[in-house]
Amino acid sequence: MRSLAELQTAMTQAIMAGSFVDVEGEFTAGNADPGRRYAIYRNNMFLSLAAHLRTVFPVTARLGDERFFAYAAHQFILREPPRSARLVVYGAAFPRFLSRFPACRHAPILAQMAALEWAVHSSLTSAQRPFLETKDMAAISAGQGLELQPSLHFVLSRWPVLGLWAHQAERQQALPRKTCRIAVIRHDDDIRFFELSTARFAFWRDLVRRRSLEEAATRALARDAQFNLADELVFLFSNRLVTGLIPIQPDKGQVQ
Amino acid sequence: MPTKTPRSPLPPVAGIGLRGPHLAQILKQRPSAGWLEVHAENYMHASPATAALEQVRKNYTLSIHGVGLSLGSAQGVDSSHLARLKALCDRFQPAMVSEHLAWCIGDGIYLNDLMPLPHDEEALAIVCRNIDQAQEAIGRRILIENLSSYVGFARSTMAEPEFLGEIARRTGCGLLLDINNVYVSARNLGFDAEAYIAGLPGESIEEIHLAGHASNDTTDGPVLIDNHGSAVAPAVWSLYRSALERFGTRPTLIEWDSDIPPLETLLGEAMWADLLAETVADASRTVLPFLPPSRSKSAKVALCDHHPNRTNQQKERAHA
Repeated sequence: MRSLAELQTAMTQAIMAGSFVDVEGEFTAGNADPGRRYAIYRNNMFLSLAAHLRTVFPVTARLGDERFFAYAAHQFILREPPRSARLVVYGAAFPRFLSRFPACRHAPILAQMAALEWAVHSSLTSAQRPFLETKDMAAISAGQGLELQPSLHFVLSRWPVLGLWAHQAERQQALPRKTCRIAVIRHDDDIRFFELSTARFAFWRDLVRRRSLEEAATRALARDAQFNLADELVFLFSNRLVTGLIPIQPDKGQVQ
Repeated sequence: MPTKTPRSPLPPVAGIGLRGPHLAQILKQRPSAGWLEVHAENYMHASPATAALEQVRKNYTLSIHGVGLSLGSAQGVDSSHLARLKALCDRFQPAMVSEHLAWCIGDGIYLNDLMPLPHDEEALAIVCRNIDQAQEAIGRRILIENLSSYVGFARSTMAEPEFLGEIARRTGCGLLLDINNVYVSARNLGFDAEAYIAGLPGESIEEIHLAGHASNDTTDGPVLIDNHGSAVAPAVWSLYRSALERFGTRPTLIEWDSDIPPLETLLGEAMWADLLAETVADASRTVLPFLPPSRSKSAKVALCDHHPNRTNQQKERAHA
């Protein structure tokens, strides 16, 4: 007789494989077929996880057609099943999965829409910290960086996904390719979006990566000679994005 | 006769499961609900809902109900999940914490369902070890809920009530009796639901759950699915009454997790649970002890008149 550990492994493998021959002898089910009864658990798992993905990626599901989304979700669950009961983090790999999924080759925008929706989901499930006021800018000194709201997430897309998301598109439209850089942030119960210039996108992302203001500004200037640090700081503080001033060790600034 | 009522930190009335679509209405209108239960895993991260729960707990007694601890897992309990549960309890200070007699992580995969366990000595030792660890980690007693099952195990050496009773005895945990789950399992596996309830140690039961289920037709005949997506079935109300008569009043929760209806519907179900509990309690205090069994039976029928689905009740009971 198998140990309980072996039994649970075999039951899990049967669910993932969709074949119950190896375990059905373990079960009783009254007058019913034990294997068919056990299949209910597989059905529950796949349906509930697909429902979770549909909740996190509603516009992606509509863009790609519900039946296609169900198929993609099923394949994703098979290849990348959740590893913990914390379902709030399940789906992080879905955009990358779609970008490599052969059936999505004709619609690369699906993966990028999924990336935007994952950013929205991540923002909504991030903490919201007290923010610094514009007057606090006076305390900034050399060698410091800025700590930004933890709900700030970035999306770099080759398609204008933000407009599509905002209109909750029912079907895919013929869209011109257009690279867009998007920042997503939670504001209480709402989500705010910023479409960023190349320089601002680089600046914000460097701050999140804990680079000093000087280094982040230098890199932004390399992308746009008109980049103005003072204006950018006012923009960040006035939009309640800054939660702290932090000292940056030069070496640590290169870590990420 | 009702068993000795345990001192539950929950009020001895009906509460409802707090679900996302009702959060704003609960905060705004503060409806009269005995208490609220939330799923632990929905509040283990920052979110608008988690922030709102801080407001909710100021006005309602909370119970935290876990679905992901996997107390039946032979590989043990995920210590990081346990730490998150502890942090949640520390933050929201619930009156009660409960989990399931189930496992949900196998071979490193989270199955997002409550998987059944064989009822034998090996499983008993593993479940008790995991419950001990959980109670130690969060610093409080927990309640363990019976599952709804679609399969049993050929290797089981004891019935589930005996298994649950032994868990309670060895770990000191309490029991959460889900009456819908008893009914669903009894129908699916062909055992007597009344006998199941009679086999439980009443003094350990500190909470009751009621919910709806679905019936699916299969090639093997109908199978009941515990989907929490409809009103409590008449046959489950009947079993609930039977449990009240046997154990006395217990804090009772109306669960509804799919096709979630308006809040008023949940509150209405909770009201029926309270009415039934009051009626049974009144009957046990006054009339029933003096009635012969035949009169007692007719009193049960009279109780059913209060329920809107009475016409279906006899039919459902015939299947039970």
